[in-house]
Amino acid sequence: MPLDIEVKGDPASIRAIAGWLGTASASVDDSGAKVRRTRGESETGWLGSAGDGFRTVATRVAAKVAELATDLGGTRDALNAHAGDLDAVKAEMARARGIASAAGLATTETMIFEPGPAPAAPTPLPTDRPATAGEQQAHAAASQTQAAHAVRRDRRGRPGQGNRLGRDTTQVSN
Amino acid sequence: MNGFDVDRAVLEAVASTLHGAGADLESMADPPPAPEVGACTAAVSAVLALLTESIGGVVEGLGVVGGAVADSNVIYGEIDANARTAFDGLSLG
Repeated sequence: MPLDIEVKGDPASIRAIAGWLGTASASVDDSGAKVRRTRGESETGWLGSAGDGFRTVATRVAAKVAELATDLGGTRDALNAHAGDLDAVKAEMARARGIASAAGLATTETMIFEPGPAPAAPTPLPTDRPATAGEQQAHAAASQTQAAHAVRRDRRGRPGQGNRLGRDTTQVSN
Repeated sequence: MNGFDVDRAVLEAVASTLHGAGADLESMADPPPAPEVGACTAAVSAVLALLTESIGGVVEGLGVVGGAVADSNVIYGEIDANARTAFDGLSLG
């Protein structure tokens, strides 16, 4: 069964939105500062019950605005972290593809394919007569192919032995 | 305190600041294009829509509060002007 190595998601577009959220968070925070400032200004320039009412509302609005700025900043941080995770997983999948390709497996951007069937065993050379030149050539070629396949199989499937990239390929082969 | 004490210039400045704060945020109240987040794209889009809706709520709220302050300022002016009218109409014979 082929191995699906596609990792969906575009870290650059995620970081772009995270940047937008950071700007929005700063703007919202700035608005909250303005609300708090007007509340302070009103304490000396607007005395009486209406002024008290305004300050009650301004306090509530400032708290809600601060909460929203925090939510925007938290979402920005979460998206940045997710973009970093996606980069890491994509890099691991690219490494897996490299390992599989080095071991002789066919790969694409999104798949690592199975090794396929082992090559046929060489046809035994005749024992009742001398082998022809063609038979000897075919036998040698088939033996060579089979030996090369065995080397690739061993490289792919030997648990814990690693490979030439220095990684255990057990999980990749499965 | 008994009664009230209002500096109408302060009320005007407060209303102006609140309206300006709302206007500064208006451009942020439209959701940005959704990022490509694979299986999470719809969920992230929903979160962005919620957040931008909240920003829109802040813009609206700042406008409403700023408007209420401006209205209060007008009312204070009218109260003072009406009180003055009472004196202007007095005939002291």
